[in-house]
Amino acid sequence: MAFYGTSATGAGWIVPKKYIERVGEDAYKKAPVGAGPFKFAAFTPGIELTLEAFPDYWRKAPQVKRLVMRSIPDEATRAASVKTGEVDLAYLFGGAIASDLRRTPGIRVVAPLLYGVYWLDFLDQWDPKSPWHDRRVRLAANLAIDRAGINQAVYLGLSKLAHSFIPQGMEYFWAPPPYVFDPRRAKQLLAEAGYPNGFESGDLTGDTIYGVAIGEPVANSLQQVGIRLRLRPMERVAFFKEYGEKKLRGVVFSGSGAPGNAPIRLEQYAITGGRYAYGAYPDVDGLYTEQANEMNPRVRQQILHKMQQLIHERAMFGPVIEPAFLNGVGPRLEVHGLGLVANHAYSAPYEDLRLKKP
Amino acid sequence: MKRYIAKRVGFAAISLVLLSVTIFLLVRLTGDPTVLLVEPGASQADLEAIRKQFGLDRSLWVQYGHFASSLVRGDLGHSFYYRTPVLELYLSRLPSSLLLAGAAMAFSLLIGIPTGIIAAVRVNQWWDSAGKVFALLGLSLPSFWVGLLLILFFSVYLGWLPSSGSGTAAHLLMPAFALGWYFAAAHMRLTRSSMLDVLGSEYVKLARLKGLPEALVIGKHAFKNALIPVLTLAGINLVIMVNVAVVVETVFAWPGIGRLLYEGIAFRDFPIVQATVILNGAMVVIVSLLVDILYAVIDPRIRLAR
Repeated sequence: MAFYGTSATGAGWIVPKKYIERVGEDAYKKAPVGAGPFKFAAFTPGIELTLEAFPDYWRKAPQVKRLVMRSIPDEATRAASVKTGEVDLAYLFGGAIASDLRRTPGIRVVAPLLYGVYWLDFLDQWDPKSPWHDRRVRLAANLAIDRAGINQAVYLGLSKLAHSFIPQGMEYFWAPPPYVFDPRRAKQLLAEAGYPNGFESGDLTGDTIYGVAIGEPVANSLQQVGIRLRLRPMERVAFFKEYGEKKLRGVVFSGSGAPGNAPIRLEQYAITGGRYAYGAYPDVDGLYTEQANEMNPRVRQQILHKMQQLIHERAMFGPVIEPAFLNGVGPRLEVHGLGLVANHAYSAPYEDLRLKKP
Repeated sequence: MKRYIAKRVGFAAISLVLLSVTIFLLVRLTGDPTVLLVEPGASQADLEAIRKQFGLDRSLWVQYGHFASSLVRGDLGHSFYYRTPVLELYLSRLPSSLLLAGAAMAFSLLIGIPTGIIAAVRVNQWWDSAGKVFALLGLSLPSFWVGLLLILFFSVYLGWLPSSGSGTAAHLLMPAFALGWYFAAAHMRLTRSSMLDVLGSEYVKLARLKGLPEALVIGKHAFKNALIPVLTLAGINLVIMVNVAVVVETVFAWPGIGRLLYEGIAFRDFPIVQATVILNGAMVVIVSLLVDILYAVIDPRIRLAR
């Protein structure tokens, strides 16, 4: 289970070499053979995948004999299909629909966490003329965000509040002192920075899915203390393209669910040359190089903690939330598999799924 | 006549070539698909490796040349996302789309034509007003909203119909209604106006003067002639239904080509978008061509004028 019980299995599936070589790749896709607890039965790309239990699976024989995975793109239809009992488990709901599901007798909302964080990236902090260049302004923004309120409204309180842009479960994570929601102190900091009446901050850019769902309440929180941002939702591909090409300005509603560890996350967003790093601090850059050459894990951890501490002290980012994946579980399932594999958003391992006895 | 047909076929071919160039360029304006094939934190090297794998690192002209030459050979490319031939995907979804469009058309005609006739016969009376309200609702209520209401009522509250999917007649009812609703209203309006024209014509007046029963006047003399424009519109609408079912197919998780197009757009799967638009466009162009030819056969003035 050290390998199977993690999302690492997605990086390397065990398949029979001789079979693939004999039938070729295209034929293999039509009748694949693997090493899992279920056998391939039928597949309509984008529509439905049907699997049948493989009773001789090394770990245990699956109790569920037939597994049908259906793609239902519309969220409201997915919710209806759980309510009517047409499906036993449906993934990924927003707060409003999940709340309705939770009120439905027999339906459970189960919300595993993954290695994901949403945070504000203060892009203009590297521009000496911008208000965001002042640490007090960035700290004010952090104190103005009502993380608990957003968690309740968007995730039914099931997500974790974030105080770092590195997820809490990630290797080499350093736990910073939490940002306490304190709008009064935020206003005070803004006044000290020379903005007693707040300021026009330009765009808060995010993608059309998460950037709007969470970006909007974040913008409202900041508005309350006088930081006036204009929400600018961008189509997801265009957003990541412009973000990566360093074309955006103002504040970005950023996020990542990429697996890995703290240095990988730091390298992308906080180190000179990182794909989404619009600027960096020389001492943090220096520590990054130092940890990369350090062979002693304990010392490496100390360096990485120091880097995160510096980033936190400088309020370089505005961490908001570690989002939960809200899923609906119908009454027939006794073991739904959600959360059995740490930091994995989906039901797994499938051989552990169990239906209630009739 | 032969010259006329050759000219129309030539125009149709030019339309398809222009469509292929337009869609090829337009999908590439929507952004880089490789961004969606990797995690947001992926390195530049990963992105470039995927671009190379799909040939997206080559110049637009080279990409178009490859696309056009494959198209001529009937090869619409491989899906970036599903890694299967696009034509195979398209053909696997087409029967579902045709079934849905056929059912929606049947529904729209069954509702639209009788209500249109009644509204015309009882013009400016209660039935006519009810018909106008029906037409207004049909043309103004978005199909996705109608679809969601149907799911809520018939699946969640009553438990009579499956909320999504396909495979049985019960699966077909709600999507066909949601898709056909708009077209039923359109057919109703056209039937009404066409019937009103015919009912005011001299030969209908003569039929009445001859003392024919009203049912015979309406059913035999008026309705038959009023039906011609309605059926012409219905033929074109059938093709349009296949093309505009994207929203309804997505709401009901119906496995048609509309949903395939939605998936293609969502995943920036260029080959899927290109193939779906070109094949759907070809459907429209071919039907228009057939209608043009049919009109020319029926009415000599058309072929002479052109």
